[in-house]
Amino acid sequence: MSIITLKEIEKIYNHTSVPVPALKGITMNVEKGDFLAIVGPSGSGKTTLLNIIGGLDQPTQGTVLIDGTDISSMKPDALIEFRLNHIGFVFQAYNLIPVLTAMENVEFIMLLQNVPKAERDKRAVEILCSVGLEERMHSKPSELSGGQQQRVAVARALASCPSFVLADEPTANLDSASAESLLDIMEHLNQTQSMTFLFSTHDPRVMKRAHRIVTLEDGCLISDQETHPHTT
Amino acid sequence: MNLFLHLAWRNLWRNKRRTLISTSSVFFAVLLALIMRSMQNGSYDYMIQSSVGLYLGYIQIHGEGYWDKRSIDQSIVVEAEKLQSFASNPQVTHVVPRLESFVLLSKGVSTKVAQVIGIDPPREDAMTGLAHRIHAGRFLQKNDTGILLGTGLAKFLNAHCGDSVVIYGQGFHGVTAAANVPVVGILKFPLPDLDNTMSYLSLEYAQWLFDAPGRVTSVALMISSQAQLANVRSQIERMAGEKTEVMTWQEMMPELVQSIQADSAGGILMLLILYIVIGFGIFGTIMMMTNERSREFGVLISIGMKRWKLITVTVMETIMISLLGAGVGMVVGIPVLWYLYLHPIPLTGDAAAAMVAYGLEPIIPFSMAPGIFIAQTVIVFSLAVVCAMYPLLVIRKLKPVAALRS
Amino acid sequence: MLIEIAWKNIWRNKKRSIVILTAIALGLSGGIFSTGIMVGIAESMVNNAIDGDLAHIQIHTKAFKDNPLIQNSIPGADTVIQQLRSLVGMKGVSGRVKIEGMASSPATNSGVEIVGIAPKAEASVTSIAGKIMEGSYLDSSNRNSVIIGKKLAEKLNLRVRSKLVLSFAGRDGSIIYGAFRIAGLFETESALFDKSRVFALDEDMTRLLGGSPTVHEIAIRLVQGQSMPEALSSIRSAYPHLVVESWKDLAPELKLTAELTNVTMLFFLAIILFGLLFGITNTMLMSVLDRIREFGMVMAIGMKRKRVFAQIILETIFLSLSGSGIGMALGVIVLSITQHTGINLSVFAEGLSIYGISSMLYPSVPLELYFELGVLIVLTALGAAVYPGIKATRLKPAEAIRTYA
Repeated sequence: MSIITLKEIEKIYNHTSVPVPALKGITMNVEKGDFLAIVGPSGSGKTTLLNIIGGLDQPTQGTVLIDGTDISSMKPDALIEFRLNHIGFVFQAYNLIPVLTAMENVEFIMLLQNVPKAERDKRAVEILCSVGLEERMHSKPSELSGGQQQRVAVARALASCPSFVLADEPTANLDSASAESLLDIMEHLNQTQSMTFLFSTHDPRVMKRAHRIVTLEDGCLISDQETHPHTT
Repeated sequence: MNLFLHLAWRNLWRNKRRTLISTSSVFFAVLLALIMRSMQNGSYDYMIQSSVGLYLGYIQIHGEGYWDKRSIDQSIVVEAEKLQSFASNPQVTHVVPRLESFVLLSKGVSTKVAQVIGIDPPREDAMTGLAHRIHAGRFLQKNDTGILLGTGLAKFLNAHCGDSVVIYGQGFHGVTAAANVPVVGILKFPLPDLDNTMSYLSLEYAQWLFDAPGRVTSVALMISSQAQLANVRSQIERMAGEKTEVMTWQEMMPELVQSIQADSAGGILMLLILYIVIGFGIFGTIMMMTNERSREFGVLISIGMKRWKLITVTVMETIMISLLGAGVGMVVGIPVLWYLYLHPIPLTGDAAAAMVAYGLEPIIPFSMAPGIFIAQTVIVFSLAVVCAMYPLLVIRKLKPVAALRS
Repeated sequence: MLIEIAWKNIWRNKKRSIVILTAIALGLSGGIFSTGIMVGIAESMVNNAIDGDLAHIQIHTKAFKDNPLIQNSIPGADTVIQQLRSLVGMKGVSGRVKIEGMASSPATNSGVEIVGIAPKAEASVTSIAGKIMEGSYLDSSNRNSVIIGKKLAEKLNLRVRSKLVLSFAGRDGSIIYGAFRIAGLFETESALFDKSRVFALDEDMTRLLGGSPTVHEIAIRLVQGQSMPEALSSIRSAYPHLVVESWKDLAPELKLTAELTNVTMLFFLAIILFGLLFGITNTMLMSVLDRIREFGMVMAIGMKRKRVFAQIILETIFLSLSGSGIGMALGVIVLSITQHTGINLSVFAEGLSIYGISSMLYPSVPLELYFELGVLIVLTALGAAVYPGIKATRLKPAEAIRTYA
């Protein structure tokens, strides 16, 4: 079963006097283990699509199935619960809670899932190590570099054991070295744990590393290509 | 100047949320200050009116030296035309003549000292509502030959309506006053002191009894507004004639004046505390508003706007916000206070019971005096303008480069 | 950890938090201080009344309560007084002869209440002995002397050693006249008292009335005012045929003032709390709007809106309680200082004397007030948190996390 199934997704914005169609008839599937980039110029509808896949927005028409569950008409509180348990998020910026340390930020999401303390602590340490931040576990976000902050965000996204991780332009604010480093980690996690990753990006470095590229233009899906062969 | 005003006004509406937060803090401040002051003034006015309307009146005319000596020998002759001339003063609402003295009342073997007051029944009732205190029997009429007793007094003498009591005392110029008079009514007063010592005769009968034809010991006046007191008093003095003294309630009961002053002082203290609280509230919003915009200020200064110009515009904005908030506060305050003035807050429970037992209405009264609106609005507005000093100081010391980074 | 997050969030913008904390602290301490003054005034009134004349407990016969006639005296009063004196916790017991009469001087007359006392006994119950301004207190050896209030003396145009005639009704109803010499003038906090009370020797009154010694009223002063309720019930059960009342029963006007004081303070505190409500709401609103992206983010990753709301409520409560903690501490300090030094109100002395209030004021505050204020502050915080909480949770996460405005 595909992790994500989109059928004829349409999104029309009505908040100006002229309705703006942002997405037109998008149909696609995402399988477990995909390392997929959604690309397109500004205004192509990338962010809208990502928001809909992530349950942060709902389509005007069409269905969104995640792990077999239709989220296209879920109520907001149910959506929040669903996102908590099924989707991991890495945003472009403002990922972390400033008053908490890296470790506490990772613990936070498990706290929301009511995971008991002992297990929270263990997992947080484990995951932070797996993204290479053993030394900086007890630092606050203000004490970390941009790249380190994004790594904490990835750790946090993984800590909730999601079905997939959604990353909206995760490398946009990073320098080349940090960007490469982040992509290394995410690719590693994709290959060792079969964690599915979906990015939206217009960063060529990211597009280069993606295994599959979905291209949008003017709200339409114009191409969907495997660029690296799938290794199972 | 016009440009600055225009700019300031536009700036206000650029960020509606921020303007709304700041304006609302001034608005609520004005409203609260209005309510509190109105409540305080309402209480003072009510206190004065209750004390004064209960018996004393705002102004009294006596024979010279009466208030100190309280002797019937200092009574004065007051003709009907004189009373009429007092009443013709547009500010005077009631004219109440009285002839008072101390007597002994007895029935059977019981004798008690009592205060007896000769009254003009309709006038007396119009001012003090005496007829409402009738507990048994009836009120007095003009030329009545009966006596009214307080319930305590009646109980002491074991007198009921229909019984007779003996009055014994000293009349005008030492003449012995003695009579046997029927009890026609019993009055219930809230204060036990009054209940046990007050008795009333009709003025004509009292004048006959004390051999003081046409004489009164005092004429009490009620006026329409405390504010007119001094004016009316001088007018009355000119009409009163020789060998009389005209006194205001403040002169007759200086202790009451002081107790009201003491209350007022306490009230001012509480008002000051309120100003501190709301002052901080306003300051907080203005402080945050300024800090939020430090980047914007940095940009403006670095592209070449002179500091003093920026300061002028920003201070104008603060003044406009204060004016808006204060203005709306005052405008909204008017109907709010008007409503409270017409529908004072009712009290319940023990406090209410205690007030009713005293013959006071169990309410919290409010005042609509225009002075309140002006004073409170101006004060809160000034508080807000003082807060405008903060953006002034911030802009003066602003380092553009640091501000741009924030 | 959510508690930790809430607490830490308060201190993110120190300047803003300090402004509101100061407002709360000053508002509360001001409220506490004002309450202390008003309660102190009410207590002053009550204590002066108790000390001056009322005492803690008074005993009369039922007949006297209905009809304060001379014949309605307390039977076997001497025995009762002896028995009462032997009880535990009694500071003083005084038997009084009470007659309404007239005081006359060449200048004028005045209706007065004549109280016949045993000087030493009365001094152990009330403070009248200490209020003598001129002349001296009564002495059993000094027959036919009285003490009157300074204000009464002024009215009658008399002074110490002047002659005063008292007239009152005797047992058979006939008027009795007695000539007395003024031994001393007293001045108390109550103007009314000073104008209407005349103290004479009980033996003199008994002699004038004829017959056996008469006592109409027994006044009791306890060592500890707080023990009044127990003392009241035990005396009531010991003398079921007599009417035993406390000062609360005897002076309803004191009750009125106490109640009015409570109401006034309540309204004042309510207004202050309203002012603080707006201030706290504004502060929290600004704090929430500053963190709008953060709220969007946590709701995106899975924090339920209820929990976000709860966090804001918690932050508001922490903020408010911190401010009130400081405010209460400040209030306690100011109260302790003024309780020690007293507040001088002599500029209002005459006005206060209508109500029997001393010019030296010692503010005091009932302990329950702190608890009540705490509860009210929490309620205010809850009210203040509503609008900011709604603002935070109404968010659409997609809009909040948008990086470009």
